[in-house]
Amino acid sequence: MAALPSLQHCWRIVPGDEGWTFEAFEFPPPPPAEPPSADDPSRLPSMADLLLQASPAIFCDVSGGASVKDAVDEGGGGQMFRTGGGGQMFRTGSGKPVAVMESSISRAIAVLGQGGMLAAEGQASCSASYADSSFSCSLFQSGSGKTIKLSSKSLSRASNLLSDNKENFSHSQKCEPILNHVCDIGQHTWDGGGNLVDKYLVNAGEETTCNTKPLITVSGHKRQLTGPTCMYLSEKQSDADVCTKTMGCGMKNFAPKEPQIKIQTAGGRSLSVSGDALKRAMNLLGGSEFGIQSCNMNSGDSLCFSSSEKRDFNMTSCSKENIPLIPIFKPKCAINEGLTEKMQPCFGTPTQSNPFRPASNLNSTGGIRERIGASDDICKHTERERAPLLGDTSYSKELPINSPMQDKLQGVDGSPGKQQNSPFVDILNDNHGESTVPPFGLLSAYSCKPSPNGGKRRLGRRSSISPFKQPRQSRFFAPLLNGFPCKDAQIQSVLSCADAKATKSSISSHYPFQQKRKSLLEFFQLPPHHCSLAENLPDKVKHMSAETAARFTFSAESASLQVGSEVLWKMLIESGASPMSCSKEWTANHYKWIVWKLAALERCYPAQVGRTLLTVANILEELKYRYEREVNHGHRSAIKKILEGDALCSSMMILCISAVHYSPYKKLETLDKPKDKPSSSTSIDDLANPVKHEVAKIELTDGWYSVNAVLDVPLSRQLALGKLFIGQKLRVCGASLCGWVAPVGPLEAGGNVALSLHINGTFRTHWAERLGFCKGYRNPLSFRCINVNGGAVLRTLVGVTRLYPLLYKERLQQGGSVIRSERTESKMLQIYKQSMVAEGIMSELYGENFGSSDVAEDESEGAKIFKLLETAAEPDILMETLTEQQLVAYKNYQSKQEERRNSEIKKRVEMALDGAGLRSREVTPFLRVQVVGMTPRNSNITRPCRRGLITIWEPTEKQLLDLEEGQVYSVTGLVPVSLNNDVLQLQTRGSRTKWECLQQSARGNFEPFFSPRKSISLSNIGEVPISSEFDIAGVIVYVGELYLSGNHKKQWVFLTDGSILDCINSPNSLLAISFSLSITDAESCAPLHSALTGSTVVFCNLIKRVRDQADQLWVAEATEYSTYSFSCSSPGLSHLKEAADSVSKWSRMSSVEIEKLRERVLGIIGF
Amino acid sequence: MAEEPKVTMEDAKIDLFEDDDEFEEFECEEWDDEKEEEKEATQQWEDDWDDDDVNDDFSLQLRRELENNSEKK
Repeated sequence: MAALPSLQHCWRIVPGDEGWTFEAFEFPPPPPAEPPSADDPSRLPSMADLLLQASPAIFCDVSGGASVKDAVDEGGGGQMFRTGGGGQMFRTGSGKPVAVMESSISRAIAVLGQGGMLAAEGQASCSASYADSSFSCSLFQSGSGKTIKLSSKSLSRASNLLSDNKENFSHSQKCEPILNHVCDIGQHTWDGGGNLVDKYLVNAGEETTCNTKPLITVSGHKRQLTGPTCMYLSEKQSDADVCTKTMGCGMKNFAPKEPQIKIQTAGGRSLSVSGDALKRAMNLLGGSEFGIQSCNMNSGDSLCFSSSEKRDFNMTSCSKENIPLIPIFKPKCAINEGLTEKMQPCFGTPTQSNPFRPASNLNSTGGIRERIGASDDICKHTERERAPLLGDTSYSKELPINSPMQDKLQGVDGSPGKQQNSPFVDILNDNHGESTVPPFGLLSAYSCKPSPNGGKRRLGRRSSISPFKQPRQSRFFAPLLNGFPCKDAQIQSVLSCADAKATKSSISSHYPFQQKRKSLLEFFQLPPHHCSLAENLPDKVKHMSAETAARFTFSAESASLQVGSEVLWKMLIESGASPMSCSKEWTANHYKWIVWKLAALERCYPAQVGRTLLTVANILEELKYRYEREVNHGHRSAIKKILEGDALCSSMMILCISAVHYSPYKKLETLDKPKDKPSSSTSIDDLANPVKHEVAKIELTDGWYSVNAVLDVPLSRQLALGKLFIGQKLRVCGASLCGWVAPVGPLEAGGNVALSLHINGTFRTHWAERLGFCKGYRNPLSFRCINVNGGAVLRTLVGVTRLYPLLYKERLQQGGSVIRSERTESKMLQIYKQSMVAEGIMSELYGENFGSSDVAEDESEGAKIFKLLETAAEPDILMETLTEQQLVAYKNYQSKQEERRNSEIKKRVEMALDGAGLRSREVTPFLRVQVVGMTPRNSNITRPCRRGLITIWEPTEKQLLDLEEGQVYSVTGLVPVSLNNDVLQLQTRGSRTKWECLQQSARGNFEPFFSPRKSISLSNIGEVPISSEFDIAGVIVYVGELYLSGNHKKQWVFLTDGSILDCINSPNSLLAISFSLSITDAESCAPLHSALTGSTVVFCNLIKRVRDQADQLWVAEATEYSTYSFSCSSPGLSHLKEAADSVSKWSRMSSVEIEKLRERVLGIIGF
Repeated sequence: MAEEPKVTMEDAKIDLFEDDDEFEEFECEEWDDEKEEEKEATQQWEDDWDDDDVNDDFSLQLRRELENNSEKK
């Protein structure tokens, strides 16, 4: 190799005997002062400039009627350039014109085609022989005209920058004319003189061409130029092989680069992906099963996934500046398509069509054929391109694709001929779609094969259900463009292949079922029962469990082959199931449940079904059915949906017990069980069970998948009693999930996730019930069936017998709590608000002036004005003299001061309240409702209705208004708390519970339950049972003093009602009522004041106590539920109105009797 | 011991009757509580676990069957 020239020397390209050579020549010094300009003759044109200058000439030549093709064909290329002033176009560094030979131009174009555009892009020398050399190139100059030395590293960096940077449109723009020119030449040659418009129409899919070409180059826009150049040369040489040679040349020059795959993201970013990453991705996509690696990775060539180049081109050509270039740019594409397909025979580039192409243009096909002559391959490709235009979609199908890879793919796919015309998937964002929209878009290429959804196709599984409800999938879909370069086509073919696999080829001929079939109950009619015929079944079937079902195998007749889940998996795959969706684990799981079910049916109904169910054919058919539903239809069973986080585990569903993992009672039960008697005779309560509080763990199945379940204590006891057993179906509602942190597949959940079942939400159900989620109304659980330790009750039915007044519970700071009536709470609240401590603080604070601690603010204009106004004798007059700005500043200062004052007051009040023990109160209102369970009419239930007391914490306004005694309600969300004296205590929060009042007609379905309130008089109080509630109206005879009794202060109140005729002497004419108050409340508010003596008062919810026989008094107790009123106008007191009126009337006329009774009371209490 | 099950190709059982594992696919919207509230709720679940006699014939037979199976497993 010759020594490198010094900096004073430049290189020029000259034709040599062995092709292009470079020779050094002396470069004249640049003019020192004159700034360079485009027209500056001293400015050396780049190769792009040269062709740019040549372009108009050529264009003019063409438009002028001179046939470029003819010129080229006739070897007149040099003339063509000469017409354009070829001598003027090329100058030396000193501005001296250089004569350019036709062969030189051809070679220059060839160089550009192979990599010469690198020079046009500033990558002056990528020639293989000089790639490693550092040299100065006369083609590059600084702004001052100085020669720029370019090293190969610089070129490499520039190349990377240019290829990676999407902002290099200027470069593209610069190159476009050249491209256009070249394309025009090529196009013209191909179309045989067709006008340009026609050419544009014919070659609408230029982007495709641009993007399919890069197979032969490394990266960047330059590759897109290769096609036309190659085609030009191939035409010029009239040899179809030239294309291959040219391509080979390109490959030779650029292939050695490290393989790099470019993937364009949906957002348009270009990502480089290593071959290994691609391999992994393809493995994830199931590519390994399709031999992807061998398809793509062996060549070591650069691959491109519809890379950013396409986008660049699209954007460039579609940008405002480049709009005029579009038609010029497009024509190259037809040639390129043909060439591209020629270049990528292995991958069967999809055919393209242009719906806008006039039919007359089809005639040119023949012309093309004639012109191409020996270029049969190209001709075929051209025909393939145009075949869809004729609407003959079968045409392209008939064309053989002699591609080993294609064959391989087809072979794997099992669908010969499928790939060559299978449309590339389009998973682009719409904004990309704008550059690919027909007629110039890539989609048009596939328009001959309509997409099933009429639009874009998608990779991956598809379901009729909405996307957000589709099963989650872990597959990653690279956002691929439509028009792939050939290497991309490899990938895309495989993806399409995988897609075809994953999509929806129905493998079950049964689903959806065409006709209605009998239900399990209709078919078998009787519940499962033991039958002697079942004894004939093989032991493996007779004692089949879910666990053993997984290991169950059939013995093949011919050989020793055991047909189990693995063989079934193979059969399923052979039937057309996708290995991606249908894993061995998936098959094994379903095999297990199908086998278990079929064995159970054979065991339970041997007379009806014999041994015809548990067969390989039936299992395979059921597997196909399940595949069809789960994979193709996206249906998911209850357990799968729950574990995948798409359904609430509290939903009502029917599951079957498939295994019992652990029962805390099992051991003892077995030990205590008499040999000859079933364990059921042993009550679980009789067992001194040391693990009483442990709970059982079982496995539940929905027939498709299983999940572990933890039973609560009552259910665990039922399990021990044999009321829960394997094979039993349970109706589960209100369950919760333990150990579930994120969506997980049912086969991956393992033992960490478990459903937590409680007895109030778990019921035994019919043997023939369909497994899975239940649709429709959730019937309420009978109130009598609520287990106090059985967890929340989803819904129950109650009749309200008593509605107690709203109460308030205050949590005390010193611990404990106090319950107050509305009246007492109101007093306490008032006391709190009017607290002397607080008032004192407030008055003190409001009188205080909170000066600003902010010095800057004090010196502000607002502060100064404020001080001025404070000291001014007549502030009003001063205010009038203030400017607007001063007023604003003053007001701002004032508002800030006010804000600060309020903040400070609040702070000090809180501190003072803290000090006085009057911190904010924690008071919770609650409502208590006495209820009773509803007994259906004409039911066999003889036991009395169960009573309950429901506490609604923080009841809503609606509940306070709507709840009514005597009504029947369907109530949700109750939680049992305790059971006291057969009264079930439940509670809920107002916002979490719904009280739905049943219509009057519905109430007729139940036994009557309600005894309306009535007024009790002293004459009939004896009928009221002890400890029962009653309501009474009477006159207060005497109000006793408060006295301490334990932790409470008590007060006796005596009343009479005039219902006794001789009240003075009668032993039944006085009722003593005991009121009780907490000590703290008693200090501030007595229940009744002595001033009330002689008033008529109505009392509700008094509890009758044992009569004081010694003092001849009826005794009652006022509880927290008891209320009193001086008027009957309040709701719920109407039943006392008549009695109150009567008492009031009597009291007005019986002052003497009342006084006598008062004296009697005083005598009793010791005064 | 009875003979081992053999691979036989019978008619598909799947067409004979609806299995209990053929779950119904329906949208979650059908779970709307508001809709449920419109309905009358007069049917109650009267499933009292303590009501049934664990010594009745069915229970005894069932227990026996389950125990036999578990022993032979």
